[in-house]
Amino acid sequence: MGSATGKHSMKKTFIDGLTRPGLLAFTVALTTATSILVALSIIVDEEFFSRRGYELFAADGHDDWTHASQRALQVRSGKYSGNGLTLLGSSATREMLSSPEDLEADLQSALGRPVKVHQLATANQMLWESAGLLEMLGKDYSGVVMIGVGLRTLVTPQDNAPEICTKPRLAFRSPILDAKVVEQGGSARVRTGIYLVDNREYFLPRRHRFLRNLFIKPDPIQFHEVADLEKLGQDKAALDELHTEVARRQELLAELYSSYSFEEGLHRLEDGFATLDALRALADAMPNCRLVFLRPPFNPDALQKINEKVTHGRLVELYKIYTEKFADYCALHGVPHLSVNDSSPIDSADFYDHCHLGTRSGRRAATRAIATFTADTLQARKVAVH
Amino acid sequence: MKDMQQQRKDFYARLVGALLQGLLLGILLCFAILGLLAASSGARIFRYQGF
Repeated sequence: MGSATGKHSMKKTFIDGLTRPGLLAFTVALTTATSILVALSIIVDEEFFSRRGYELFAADGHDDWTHASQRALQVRSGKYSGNGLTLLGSSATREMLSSPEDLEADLQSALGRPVKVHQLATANQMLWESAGLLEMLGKDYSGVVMIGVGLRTLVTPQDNAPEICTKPRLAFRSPILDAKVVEQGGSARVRTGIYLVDNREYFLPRRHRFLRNLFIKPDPIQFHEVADLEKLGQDKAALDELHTEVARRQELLAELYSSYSFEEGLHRLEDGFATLDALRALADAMPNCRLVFLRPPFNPDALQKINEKVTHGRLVELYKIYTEKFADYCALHGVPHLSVNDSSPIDSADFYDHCHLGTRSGRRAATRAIATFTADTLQARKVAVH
Repeated sequence: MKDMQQQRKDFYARLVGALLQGLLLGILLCFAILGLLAASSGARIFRYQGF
């Protein structure tokens, strides 16, 4: 009876301590919150992110930005020895590969030695973000950097560095981006030297994902939005959904291209090429890096359909000018360039929308073309073999 | 004697309760601070729109 009373009394006082506000609970709360924040600031640095960034901070299995950030940090830290092939650019570049492993196998076959593939192309990647990733690879990077430069990437206004830094998609600060922000009239960002604090805009929206990922691992990175268009063709409901989505994208693209005149488009092209100068300068400062440009795949049928909805109706003409100027630019500056449409047997049936390859056969063809081109580049220029 | 023993047990029970309260509130406070910082920064996770 006494023991039962005692246990009841303890339980009551425990609940009392648990629920009643008091100085001790308040002090512990403040100390706990401060300790967690300080501990995270100490533990989560660049080295930690390069080891566990995707595992802990990926939003989902399509978070290619987190994957790219982690991989770039790993490359800079020297995790990968030997020559590499790094791909930068937007989702059209990302989707054209069947897989990095296939490309590595093709390169091994072509060169007789391994070349590590770093797939850093991400959804909607802007040129200044490509510059940030290129810079992050580091001066010791050895191999080829292939940057996909599509029409849309070039005609996107290039004074977007402040916006990129306000809503960063990369998990690191980039000196070239920081400098561009100031040059383009933005405020200089103060660096505290604390990785978590300096990249808070990247990490803060992911606080819930971090908590979830502590207990449930995110899906491995998926580079393809549509896994296999040929298989999807057997599922009518999924195909209808895809067609609806494709129509939506074409409408949005038509609106985008209609938002400025054809002449403005030409002017923006020139601005885009000026940004390519900055990319070349970055690559030139990396002694064992060979820069190549890539004209990403584009669905010629879709171009016509989108053009019909564009106000000025000269998108096809703009695209033609882009391809010509792109070739001229590369020839003028001695940068090898590859056009996926011209160097692989792909056609409109291989695309699931205006620019993303969706068939296994189309992706394999593009991958082989990339491997052949890269092998030729590595052999033509004496990039140091490690 | 028993009364003193019981009082000691009650004290520690209350202490553990208070510590646990502080711990839980501290974790919530940490997330609240992070949430306020996130809201003030306006940062969002990028969601691909398909183009």
